[in-house]
Amino acid sequence: MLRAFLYLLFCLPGLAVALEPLPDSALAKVSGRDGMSFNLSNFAVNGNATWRYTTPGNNSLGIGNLSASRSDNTDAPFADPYRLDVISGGAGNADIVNIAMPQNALGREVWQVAYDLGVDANGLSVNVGSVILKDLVYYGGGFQFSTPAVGDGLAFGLSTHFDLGSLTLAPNGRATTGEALVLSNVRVGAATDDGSAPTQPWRIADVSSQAGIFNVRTDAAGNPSLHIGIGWPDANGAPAGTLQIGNISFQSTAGNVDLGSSRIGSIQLQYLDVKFH
Amino acid sequence: MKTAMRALLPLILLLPCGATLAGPQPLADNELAAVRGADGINLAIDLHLNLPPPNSSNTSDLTLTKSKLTIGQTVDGRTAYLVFNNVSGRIQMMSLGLSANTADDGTNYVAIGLPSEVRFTNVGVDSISVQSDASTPVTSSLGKITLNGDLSMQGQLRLWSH
Repeated sequence: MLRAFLYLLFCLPGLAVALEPLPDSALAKVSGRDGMSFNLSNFAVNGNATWRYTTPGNNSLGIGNLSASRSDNTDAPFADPYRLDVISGGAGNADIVNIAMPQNALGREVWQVAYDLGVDANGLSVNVGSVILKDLVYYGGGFQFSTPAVGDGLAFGLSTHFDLGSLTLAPNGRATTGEALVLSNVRVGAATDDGSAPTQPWRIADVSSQAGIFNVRTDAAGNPSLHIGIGWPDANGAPAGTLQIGNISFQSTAGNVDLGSSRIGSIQLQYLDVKFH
Repeated sequence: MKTAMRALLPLILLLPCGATLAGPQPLADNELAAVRGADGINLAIDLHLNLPPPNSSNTSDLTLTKSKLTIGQTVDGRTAYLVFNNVSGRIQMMSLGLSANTADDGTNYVAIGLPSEVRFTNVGVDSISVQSDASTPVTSSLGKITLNGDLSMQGQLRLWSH
């Protein structure tokens, strides 16, 4: 009898240990992993949905009949995703939300996009035409979000490197591409020393060195406005980008007019300030 | 005494003393991953956001009391407000899938199956304005945004940790 009770006594403290409360300090050490990866698989969208912006004067611009799809890197669908991380902004600065696009080195993730434009003004509804983006391939680049160094608002960073097979503006609709303005073999990215095709993303805005800003502000006279801009660069200067267009042509049933290629070797965006009122 | 012993013995045997003494064992990720539920869930959604009930007249309270989404920001010591008036509309979705999967390379991911049919009916805002005082009526608007029509989608959005 005594032996049985003794055994019971030994057992009870074990139960108490199992239900120990978790102190705040221990809970604070619980952390997730570094961030989140995401990607699309077998993605396509189409439909007659129309996004419409209507001015206070009741005229409007519509974008609709979107049709888009993206091919996948089926050999390694999880190796090179979009990545969302919160990274340190350095001493004294706010943290940065960083969204990185896939490096897509083999160029297998390819977008096809088409949409229609229309304007409704002064009682007339006009179909402006279709925009067709063929073989749009992004290589790296991405977005950053943080708080501005001074004042409220959203500080942002933006970098991009893409190749576009062709951009077609077809005034008579996407089925009638015989009459169109076509920009083919478009490349955008960081400028290269010898003017060759870009290999790195062009940092148009960077939270740390040249932040973009989006906020609402009231000027000294008391007029509020919506503001979007890119600040002056730091001592390193604004990063240089390049825009290369393989061919510009006006196509029509009467014959094509080829304007040839166009190239801007180096573009530096020093400062941008746009206010909507 | 002997009877009491005999009654206690099953009780002692029943007590999970061994397990209690050893404490809780951590569950390894791979064991947890082996726990399988069903294939996932599909959601059909019909969202009416800030719309008056269909059988109400236009003078009902809901029509008059419009919603407002306001963001206030202070720059150079002066505060301005970005005001979205009456964020509203109807979204019908058929059907949004949710499932947990393991890829061939061992990646565990959440797959969001994109809806095959989505219908938007007057989804948007009545006006966007920038104001020095958020409580005053809109006098100068930047315009109105609406989304109408159908979209059909295919494919998945996949999410996982890294």
